[in-house]
Amino acid sequence: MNAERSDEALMLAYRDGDAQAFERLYRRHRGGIYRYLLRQCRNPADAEELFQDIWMNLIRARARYEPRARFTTYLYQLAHNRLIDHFRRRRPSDPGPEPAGEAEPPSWERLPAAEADGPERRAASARQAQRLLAALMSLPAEQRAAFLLREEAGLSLAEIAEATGVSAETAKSRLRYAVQKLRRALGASPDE
Amino acid sequence: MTMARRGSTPEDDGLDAYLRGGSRLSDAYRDLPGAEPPAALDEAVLAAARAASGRRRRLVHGPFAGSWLAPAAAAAVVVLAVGLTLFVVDRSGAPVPGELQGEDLALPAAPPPVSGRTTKEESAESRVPAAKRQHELRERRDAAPAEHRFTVEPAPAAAAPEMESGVRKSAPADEADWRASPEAWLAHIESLKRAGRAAEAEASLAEFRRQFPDHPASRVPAQ
Repeated sequence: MNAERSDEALMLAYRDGDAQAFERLYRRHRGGIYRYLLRQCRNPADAEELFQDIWMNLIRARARYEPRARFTTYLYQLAHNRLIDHFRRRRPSDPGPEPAGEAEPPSWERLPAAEADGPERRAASARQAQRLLAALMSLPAEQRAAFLLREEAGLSLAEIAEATGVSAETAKSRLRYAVQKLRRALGASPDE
Repeated sequence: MTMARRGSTPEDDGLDAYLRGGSRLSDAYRDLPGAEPPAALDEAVLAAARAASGRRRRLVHGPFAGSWLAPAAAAAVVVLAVGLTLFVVDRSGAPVPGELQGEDLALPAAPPPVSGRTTKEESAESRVPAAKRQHELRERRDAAPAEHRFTVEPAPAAAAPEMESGVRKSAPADEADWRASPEAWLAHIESLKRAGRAAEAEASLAEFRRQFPDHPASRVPAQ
């Protein structure tokens, strides 16, 4: 019956000793958390380290877990806080979270092989993915975070604000700018 | 969720359209190749989760966590008390001097059987051999603090044959010498025979057989 159980119920079950509940919860969120971290810190090795830290923190904190908010918000709040720590501890010589206007998608993103597909549709899809990833990487970290929290975690504006520790208006402003820039990169209209 | 409202800007309308879902932007993002964590990372996290869960399960369901602990402890105390009582009771039922004497005296008094043993004691001895009981008694005595050792020290009477002590209690003082041992008693019977006091010798022999039914002299048919 775990398939129908909410994230909160699974986390409570894990808190009470049900390891299988944790595994189901992990399977639900592993991809989203990993992509959120990877596309924010833009380094697979760092993303893996942060990813492991976040889940370990969740495991260690399980005894104190109480479902005061949606579990997804709680989990991405852990991820966001860990990411902020990571940025603060970077050595000055390391590139920061800001992309400095990258025009190409990062090498670690596995884009569709457009030249091998042949059909126009696949080729157009590959070009669109390249444009989108490049635009995403060019966003300021806060705007990118707002967009990723919406796409990967499905958070509302209020939840994005809670996860990132800002006001609802700030979260809305960040997401609005991110959406505008990404739409322009796709050549889409403001309503698309 | 919709954020559209009267007087909103085109930018807000665009955001509302995006938040309603199904936008081209969201579709394009969904079409991106999904980056996934390596399988080794999955294994590491899940192993840590299982290990942590196992520790909690041991704590929650461990041997010291159940509500049955108090009854089990009470039962253990009762078993220990009964076992200790059985250890310190002498074969003849004589109490051991010291703290445990009161407990021994509280036991129901049974008439001394011919073998000198109660059913309870025989049952206890069938479970624990006498030599082992003596060994354990010595070990417990040695392990006990010095000021308490005397409480489990066997009484001198316990080492003597049970029936001898019982006979001595009831025998007249002038008979004590020849009743002191079976050999002395048999020698007394022989002296009666030699003195021509056959009836007394026969009566004494009958008494001897009642008191020492397992003695070889008792198995000789009466003349």
